[in-house]
Amino acid sequence: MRTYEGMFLLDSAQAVKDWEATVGVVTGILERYGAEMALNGKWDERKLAYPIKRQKRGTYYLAYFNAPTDSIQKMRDDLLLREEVLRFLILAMPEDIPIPDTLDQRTVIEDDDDDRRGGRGRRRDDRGGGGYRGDRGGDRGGDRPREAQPVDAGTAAGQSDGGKD
Amino acid sequence: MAYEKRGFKKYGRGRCRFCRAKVKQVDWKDIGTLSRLSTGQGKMFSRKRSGNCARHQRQFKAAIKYARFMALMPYVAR
Repeated sequence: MRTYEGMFLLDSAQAVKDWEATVGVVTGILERYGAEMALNGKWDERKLAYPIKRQKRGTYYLAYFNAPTDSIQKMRDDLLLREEVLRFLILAMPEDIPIPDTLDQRTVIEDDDDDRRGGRGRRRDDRGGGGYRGDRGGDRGGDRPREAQPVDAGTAAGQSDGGKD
Repeated sequence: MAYEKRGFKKYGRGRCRFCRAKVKQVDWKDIGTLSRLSTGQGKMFSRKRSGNCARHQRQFKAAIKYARFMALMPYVAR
C-alpha cells in the first residue's frame, strides 16, 4: 500500500449535468482496485491552459487515496477508456509528505523579492528572446512589381520617385 | 565570486524562496507560485532569475511539467 495523489480532469458539461455520476466514474474505478479514499473532492472548475479534446473548460477532481502498488496501472488502463475523464495524473506521494488537511491548501510563499529587484529584470525576461514574429511579407529582397506601368515618359519620372520612398 | 556575492548583499536575499518558506516539496497544483516563476510566455525562470536552490529548482521543473500536462499551465502561451 502506498499513498497516492490523483487529479482527474473531468468534462465540465458532464460534471454540471450530473456531478455524482461523473465523479462516480472516477471513484468507482479507484475503489474497484482496492483504493481507500483519504481525502477527495472537487478542486476547481477553470479554463484550461490549452484545449483538450476540444474542451476549453474543465472540472478538476482531486483525490488522495491509499492503494496497492500493483493496482495503479489497472486504474490507469480503465480511466483511459472513459470519455468523461479528459486527463488524469496519479502520483505517488513522497513518504515524508503527509496528506494535506484540505484540498486547496496553498503554500504561502512570500513574494517580496520581486519588488526589490525592480521591474526591469522581469520585463527583460518576459520578452523571452526573439520569438516567431510572423510572416513578414515573404518578398523581401526582390524589387516590388510595379502595379501601373507608366505609359508616357513624362509621368513615369514622377511616379517612380514616389515609389522609391 | 565576489561579483555574485555583491548581488546577494545588494538585494538582501540569498536563500531560495522555497527554503525560506521551509517547503519540503514544491506543489505542482500551486499555480500562483508556478506562474510567478515563469515568463509571460510560460517559460521557466532560470535559477539566476528565480533565486531557487538546486533542489527546489529541480522540484519546480517537475512541478511545472505536471501542471502543464494537466492544462493548469501553458506549454506555450500566446
